[in-house]
Amino acid sequence: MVISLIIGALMIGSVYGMLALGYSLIYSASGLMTFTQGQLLMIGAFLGMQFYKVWGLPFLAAFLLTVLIMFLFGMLLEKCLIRVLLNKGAVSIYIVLSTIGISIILPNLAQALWGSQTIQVPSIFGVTTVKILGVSVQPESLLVIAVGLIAMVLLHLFMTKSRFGISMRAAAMDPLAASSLGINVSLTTGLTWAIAAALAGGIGVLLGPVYGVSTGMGDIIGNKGFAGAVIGGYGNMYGAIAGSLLLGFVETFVAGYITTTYKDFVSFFLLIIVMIFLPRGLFKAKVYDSD
Amino acid sequence: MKKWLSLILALTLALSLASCGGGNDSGSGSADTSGGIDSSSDANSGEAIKIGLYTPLTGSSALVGTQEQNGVNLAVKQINDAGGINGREVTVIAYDDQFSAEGAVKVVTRLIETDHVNAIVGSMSSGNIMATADMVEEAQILELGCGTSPSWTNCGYQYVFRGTQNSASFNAGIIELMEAMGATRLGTLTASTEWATNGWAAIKPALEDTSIEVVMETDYMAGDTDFSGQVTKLINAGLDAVLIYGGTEELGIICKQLRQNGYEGYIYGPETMSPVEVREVAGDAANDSFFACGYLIPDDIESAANDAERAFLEAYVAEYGEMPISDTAYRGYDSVMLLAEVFRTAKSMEGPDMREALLNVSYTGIGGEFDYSDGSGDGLESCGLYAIQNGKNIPFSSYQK
Amino acid sequence: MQQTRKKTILKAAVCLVLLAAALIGLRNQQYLLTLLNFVCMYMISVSGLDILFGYSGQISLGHAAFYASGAYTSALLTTKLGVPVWLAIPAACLVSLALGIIVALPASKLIHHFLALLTISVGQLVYILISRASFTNAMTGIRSIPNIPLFGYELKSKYFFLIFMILMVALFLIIKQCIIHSRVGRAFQAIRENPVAAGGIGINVQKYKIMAFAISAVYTGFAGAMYAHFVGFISPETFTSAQSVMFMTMLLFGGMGSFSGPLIGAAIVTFLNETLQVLGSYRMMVYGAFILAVLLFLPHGISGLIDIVKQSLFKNRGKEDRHADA
Repeated sequence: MVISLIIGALMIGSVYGMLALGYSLIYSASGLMTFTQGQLLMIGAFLGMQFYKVWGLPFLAAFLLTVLIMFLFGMLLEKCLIRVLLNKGAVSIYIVLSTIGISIILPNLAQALWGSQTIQVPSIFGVTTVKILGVSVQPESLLVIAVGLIAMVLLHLFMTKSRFGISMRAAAMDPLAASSLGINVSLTTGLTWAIAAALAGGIGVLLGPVYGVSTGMGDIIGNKGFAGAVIGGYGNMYGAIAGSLLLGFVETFVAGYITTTYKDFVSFFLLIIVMIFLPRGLFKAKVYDSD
Repeated sequence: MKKWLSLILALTLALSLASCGGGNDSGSGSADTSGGIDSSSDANSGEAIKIGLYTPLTGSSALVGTQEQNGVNLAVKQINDAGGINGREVTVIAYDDQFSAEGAVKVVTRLIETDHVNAIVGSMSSGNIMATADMVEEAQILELGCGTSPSWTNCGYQYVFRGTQNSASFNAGIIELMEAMGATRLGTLTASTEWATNGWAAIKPALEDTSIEVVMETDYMAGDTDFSGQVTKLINAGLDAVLIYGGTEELGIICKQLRQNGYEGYIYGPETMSPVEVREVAGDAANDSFFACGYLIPDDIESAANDAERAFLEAYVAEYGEMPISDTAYRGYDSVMLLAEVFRTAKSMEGPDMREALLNVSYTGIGGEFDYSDGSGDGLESCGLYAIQNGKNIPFSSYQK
Repeated sequence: MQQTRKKTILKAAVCLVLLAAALIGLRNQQYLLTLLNFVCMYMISVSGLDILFGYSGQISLGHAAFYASGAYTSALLTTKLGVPVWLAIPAACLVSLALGIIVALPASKLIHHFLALLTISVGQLVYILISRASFTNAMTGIRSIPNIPLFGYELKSKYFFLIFMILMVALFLIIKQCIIHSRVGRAFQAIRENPVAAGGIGINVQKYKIMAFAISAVYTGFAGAMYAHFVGFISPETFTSAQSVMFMTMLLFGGMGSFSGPLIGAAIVTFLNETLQVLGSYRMMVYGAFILAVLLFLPHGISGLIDIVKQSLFKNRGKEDRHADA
């Protein structure tokens, strides 16, 4: 039982982690908060379904194409909405509300385009289960964990080794100084929104064959990803992942051993406890008013 | 300042009057409109008969709601194509109840008070039917609700009837199935909806007389996608039967997660297991599942259970280009056809006369013969037992182990 | 000071007279009366949110939690324990107050992003609790909640309920104006403008933040109790985060930190939502676009727009009434 729970926890934790990474990236680069990650995941899942199932592209092609489209969509979102609001001098809480507006529009848009039923996506693998240490596991869960791991490593390398990543971090630390050094701050923040959308969309494609694709699939996951980011220490990439995995473990083990009725209650309660007693999360983040 | 305030108020009021009077009301705004209300509920010949519909059209339950709307619209179209009712056209006024009591209260008031509908086809959400039942009773408007929860019939309502089966009979069917398949150790996974929690609450005490032992009860939030905790727990309890009492949206995923994590026993479910969506999402994992339901949507028109269903499906496909996805389409269709019978036979369009007509109605619909004469509010009692084998819904009697 | 208060009362009186006049014409418009009853509840609730967000600068995206605490407390007390309605309603306000303080204790230390998240989480917690716990009848909800008795009559008719609600709106608005123009209200606004500076001039920032939360919770809790007694049936679906977002939308659309903003917002968003019903499944898409449009083109809401128009029309008189400019 423990092994299946661990694999389940790792899988859902990676999903939360991918979303949490997006939340954290955006926050660390521009100090802004978004609430659309869950809905972007849902859109990604629908796009992946469209390419893979309806148009019959190979899964890898469908995956990459979706990631690319979501990347551009994230860019567009930043340029056409967030940037416009910022230029109008909107306070940051308006940005939060605008992303809530987007998160109301997207599922309803998806419903208009694809209908409201859950759409099945054919399995990527020939087998439906694989055995690990004697327990049956969905192969797709392993793929999600693997892709999550790869994405984290890639992002780590990108942020620490590439010129672009370094300038992004510089822009986050001190936008004014960064722009005086010739770093295009607007471009770098746009890029964080794009990467966040790509991460969400990418994981959405992978979830298609696991859960099926439906307009509501991102709602709860999006909130949990957010919780993961906060538990880890909002704005910290590594914290986001650690927090999400922790949340995944707590949730799965609570459901497995204690209560399924109050599973989500426990997750949100954990979140509140962390916010009260460890407001900087497991990895420190700025949260207090007076800091 | 005062000037602006009054302007705002005037604007708001104008807007409200415009938005609410739009379309149906005379909208004259004169002080006394009571005369208008009375006359429009009378049975005037040339005027169209109005059927109100409230059901979820957006959000997570939009699928079942819009399917119900499709069924209603199809029935109305057929009635009008056949010359209407006593020469009068039938129109539908449909609103989104947002799957919430608050939304339902608003739109049902609108249907009754502003649109002056002659009868109502109710939501597939039983909670919303309950939230608005008192209003419907007070207005003496005949309502045929499309939810299956037992909670709102047999409780004294005079004008609220059910246009479909009561899930109490399905619950008995599920127990019958479990006994027939020799279930001994049962685990459950129940959705957090009114219908599902009450459904399981009705089954549980009935199991005490059987040899089925309830080993484990788990539940989930409607809208969840990850069930790994529950699934692991169920599998490790060593069960030979799992009852999933949940919505169509989640049933497929749960079946799949159960099977892929190594569950090999039988799966049982309520009527929500019949739509093709479950089998599409779950694939092979849906096999060896059993459910009880009133309306079973066949995979193709040829395998329709009776002529009424065949005719309905042919018309449905001709209209919408695809087979119905949820049986709520059947419920909406039967409800409107029933109402049409009532409109034809009632002495007047007044509530008491329509109620009288419904109590004496004789109508054979897709679901079978409707009979409301006992006044309980339920009029249809048909429950079929089915199994899923080789990716197809088949009658339980032809299931092969 | 004295003058502003006089003005406030005058404004309320004008509202009342106008509404009373309108009421006579609405006697038999049951649907409109239902909606107006809802509008009144939202007005109280959104005014509460305005005290918190508009005046003291603390966001809440979980106000449905207070709406729920009010509705459920009153409903449970009257149906399960047989407590008289007139005791249950104050109890509902008290429970909401307590919940507000509990939420505010940690919340008062957080900056707005995290505050948004904390309040969302609280909203989720309360929703999960009422939708799972057996004492709230879980998803089945609570039926047969008694109506409000008044001088021996039950406010069964929507018409009388509306008159009662209008009086309540007026009462809560007068209290709101009194708070805003008191020392407390000025402290709220100082904190909104700059919490650090407010602390610097000797304002106990945390205390006032908690106070704002508590007051706001009472407003919304009262509205929730009214909802329960008006409809007579409550179930958890009403208290989801969508409800919190709707309160916020109303406030933004009407205009924050103003007297008329919450009123305009509550009225227009309610009627807009009903008008959009004709769009069927596309309704929510338009609603989302509406939120975006407000943020993009009407950042100070309708009342902000009116202020701008007013100032350009009467430049010389523009000074006296600028509190709406957040």
